[in-house]
Amino acid sequence: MHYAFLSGFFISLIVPMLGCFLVLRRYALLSDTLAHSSLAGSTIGILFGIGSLTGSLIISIILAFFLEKLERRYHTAQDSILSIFMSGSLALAIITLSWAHKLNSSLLHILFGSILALTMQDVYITIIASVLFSLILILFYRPIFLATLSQELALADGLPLYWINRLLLLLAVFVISFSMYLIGVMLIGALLIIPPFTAAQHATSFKQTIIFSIVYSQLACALGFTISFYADIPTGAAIIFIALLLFACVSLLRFISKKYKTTRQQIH
Amino acid sequence: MSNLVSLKISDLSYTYGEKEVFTNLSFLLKQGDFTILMGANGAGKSTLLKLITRSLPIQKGTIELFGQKLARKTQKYIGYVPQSLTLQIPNFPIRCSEFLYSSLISLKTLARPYTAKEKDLAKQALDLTATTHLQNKLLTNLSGGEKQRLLLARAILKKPKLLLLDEPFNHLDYKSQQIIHATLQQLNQEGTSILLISHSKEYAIQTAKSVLFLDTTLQEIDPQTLPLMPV
Repeated sequence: MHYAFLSGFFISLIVPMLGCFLVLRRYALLSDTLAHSSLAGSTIGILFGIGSLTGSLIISIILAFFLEKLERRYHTAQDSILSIFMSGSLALAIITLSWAHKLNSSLLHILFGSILALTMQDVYITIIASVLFSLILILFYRPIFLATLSQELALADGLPLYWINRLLLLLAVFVISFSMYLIGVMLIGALLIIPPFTAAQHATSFKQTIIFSIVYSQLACALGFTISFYADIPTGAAIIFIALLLFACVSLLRFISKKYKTTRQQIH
Repeated sequence: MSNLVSLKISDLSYTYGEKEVFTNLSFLLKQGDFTILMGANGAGKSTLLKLITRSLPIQKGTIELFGQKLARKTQKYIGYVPQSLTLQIPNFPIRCSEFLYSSLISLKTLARPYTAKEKDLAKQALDLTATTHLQNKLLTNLSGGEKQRLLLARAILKKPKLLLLDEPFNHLDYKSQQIIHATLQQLNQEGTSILLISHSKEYAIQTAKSVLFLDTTLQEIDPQTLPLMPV
């Protein structure tokens, strides 16, 4: 259980941080697509014996760059194309796992996470990866921020936009691949976007949004693990459910606060 | 007026797919020039600015900035004010000061705090465009005029030698127009070259030292003769 808390603490630092950039860049559906391609890649890795993480990274990187090229060409996120790849990846994963005769056990863990089954080695890898990716994101925060906000202005200011976009995508691929085993493919996309949207309800700057996203993500993980452990429900699902509850509570509080302010203004 | 050439465009052509936007454009912008670029909708005025800012790749021809071939390193000479600022997620909280300081972002300023000099530059830019009171507001809460003035503040923060503006007065209230006009006048007097897209003949007559008219080719026109020409 303490392995789960430790891993969850570090994962819930990098995931919402990255999620703020992905949301601002309108990459929310792309994140889900990458998660599903991660799934397909990891099952191919299991089938060919190269390791699920290696397979996941290879397939996701190829798909990420292909989709980014598509977006550059057509200038929109192409929701329909992303949906096609998402469904296709899931289908490929199920077929691959059935060939490897590991359909029941592996698929369930990959879809919904298996954080409570982590070993100490898994925890070390998770911590190192999370710290490394967080440091990279902090170091390149400013150029990634500008490139996310406005590609036109980033180009006019002389930033190497091509490489910054690639860096953001690579970070997304790595973070999703590492987090997938803890949160699960079906839910990693939710953990990327729900805390940022919750924080955006009341934050007064982008940096504040990141900080509050981390807070909400940490809360969701801590409470999610606890509920999952005692209620014997999948951990990923419990975490996302708490994240959604937090979103609902913050939205409600914001609504009440706005109503109160409006009423006070009317009275005065 | 100086003889130093700010911008040199030679035989520039651009095609969108099979549609030829303009062909063999050539002109010089000298330091201290205030040039207005006019033309019908779809003539390629914004395309020309996007080629100079490297938002679009050059297909044919050359662009030089202050004697150097256009490259990422020459962008330091340019301040750019696009027609509008459209956020991918409109209500996402971005503070105006975060947006303003993004002008200082380069690979050299990656993770270090901004210096006192840089903060002073930001203050000057805000004062000049009357946007100091907007610093702590969210971008999403700004009016059209406030956004345009903030875009201008951002563009002039690094004291560019060449300022490119794409229809900066569109849909603006009178106050914002006056502030932007005064700012541009002051910058031009201090030596900044300005290339501005506008549809307003009156503004061109009152303000511009030269007017370029774009219609597949580029011709320089005396602003005083503008009322005689169909636009």
